[in-house]
Amino acid sequence: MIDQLFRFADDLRTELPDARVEFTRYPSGAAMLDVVRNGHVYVMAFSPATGFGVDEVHNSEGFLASYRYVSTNFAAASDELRKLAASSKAEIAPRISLVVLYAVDIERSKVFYETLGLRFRAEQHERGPLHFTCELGGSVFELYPSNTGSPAPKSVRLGFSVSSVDKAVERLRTAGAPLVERPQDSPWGRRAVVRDPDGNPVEISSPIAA
Amino acid sequence: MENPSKSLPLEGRLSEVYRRLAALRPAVDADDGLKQLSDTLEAVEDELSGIPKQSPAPLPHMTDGRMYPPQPDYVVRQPDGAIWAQTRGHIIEIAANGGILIRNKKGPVEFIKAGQQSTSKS
Repeated sequence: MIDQLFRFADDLRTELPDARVEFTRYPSGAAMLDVVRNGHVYVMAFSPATGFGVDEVHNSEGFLASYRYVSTNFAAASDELRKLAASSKAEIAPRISLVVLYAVDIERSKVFYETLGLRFRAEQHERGPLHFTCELGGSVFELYPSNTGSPAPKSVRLGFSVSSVDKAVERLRTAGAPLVERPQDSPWGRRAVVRDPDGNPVEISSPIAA
Repeated sequence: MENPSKSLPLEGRLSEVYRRLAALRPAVDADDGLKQLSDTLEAVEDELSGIPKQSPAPLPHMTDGRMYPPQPDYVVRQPDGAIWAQTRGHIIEIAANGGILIRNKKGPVEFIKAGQQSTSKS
């Protein structure tokens, strides 16, 4: 059995060249096969006394000892591990996918953000309020009317990357936006801060030219 | 004895295992280090899991929710006196001087503790 497992580990290395496959055999006759792929870890344990256990390892499981898939049949267990490892998808780092800004006057805010170069379309879902939405490099930025009629709480700071901070700030200032921080170079690139019509600070930045 | 009123979620029990293990005296050798880990894990589970221990550990398909120390089947002694062990989710290396390193197979080292320093070199 150990020889079969050893050969199976080699097969997996060939089938999944982007995976790290580690095989450990023990004097007891037991063996452990770990497959690391796309940030996921899959294990197949073999013990002569209990057979095979196959599972994915998660951070939150401590020293739990059970396996979701158990069999005494090598072919079935190896198929299960192969299936798990082959189906693994890369873990994607979290990213912002949606920002909703509540504005006292969404038409006025739309003009402000369009001055920055954004392009909105109007949307209304069933009985919800009319709002404006804009797709920004895989994220969605939306302007919703504030229900309270009072200025939105200043607990949000938005940042937009543009090709020229200086030109964007010039356009916004011409349109009446208050300047909070004038354009200047920083370790993170050239940046400036203005306020939108509701007083939200809006950072505008671009990489420092090489 | 099971005492559900004292049960703690698994994450808290694991932290308690590492806290108690760190507070113990340095292990004198690999066997001592493995015993410290096993005894500490079982003591925490006895006190805080609310799940009675099964002996031997339950079969792989039996989920009782209790954490178990490395099983003897998956322990190997190295020529230099170290012990390496594996569980479903961890790799455990205990040096000949009792130093303990526990790595989660997902990557991070979860626990590290120095062993007794060698003092007899001459």
